[in-house]
Amino acid sequence: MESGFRFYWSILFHGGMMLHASAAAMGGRAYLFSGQCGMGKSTHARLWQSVYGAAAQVFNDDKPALRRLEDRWYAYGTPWCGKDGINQNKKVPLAGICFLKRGEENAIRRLTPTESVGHILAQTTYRLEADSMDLLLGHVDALAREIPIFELTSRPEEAAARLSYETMRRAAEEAGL
Amino acid sequence: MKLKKDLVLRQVAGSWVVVAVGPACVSFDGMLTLNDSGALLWRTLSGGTNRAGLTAALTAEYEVTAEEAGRDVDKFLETLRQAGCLAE
Repeated sequence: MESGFRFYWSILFHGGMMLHASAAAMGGRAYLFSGQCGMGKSTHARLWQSVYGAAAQVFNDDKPALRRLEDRWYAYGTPWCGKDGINQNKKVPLAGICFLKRGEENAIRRLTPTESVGHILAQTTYRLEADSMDLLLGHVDALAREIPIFELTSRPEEAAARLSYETMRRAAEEAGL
Repeated sequence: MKLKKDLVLRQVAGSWVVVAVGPACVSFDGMLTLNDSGALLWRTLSGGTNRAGLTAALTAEYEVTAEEAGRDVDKFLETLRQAGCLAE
């Protein structure tokens, strides 16, 4: 069994799951950009770095781990981090997730928990047995209800980074995250 | 008309989803989201039925004519066929 699959399967039994995403830390919080390959996850995360400089750190560029501990959700760097090898071994309180979608304009829309379930499931571990699948679905249920989740279309320009950061930060503050 | 084995319907954060577990994963990688009427049809189908049975399930639950229900059932079955959920 491939080591990454084994790891992401194991964490299901510890309140954890994988999300296919680029993870950026900013202001002590983690924000994730997820979506199908080719949607610009890494590009958008790097855009944060070019706009906010060292204040924004991409700590995993492919498969961060998410875990619900007693107090809240955290995002973690993992060795499975994408072709550029961007990876820091750190644990950051999770504050928001954006699913990227192709589009011509800079626009962001909050997804309801119900809407976000399909997006999350399309970017996490599959090929599970019934017991581990039920664990995964339980984690997805909590994630969708507890973390503000958005759909973002963006152009590769500064305004898009400011739009995604400010919208997610505000939602996280309102949610007490 | 039968669903493939090892596909399960679950409700997650208010959304109905169908996911593959175990051996079915080999042929069904994706997942399907369904609305309430889709979930009703799925449950009816998993008990084993035909097009008429599915149509009857819809007309019993919703205020629709048999003709409208039949169209919805056809659309539902086409979605399942494309997603590779049917064992025919």
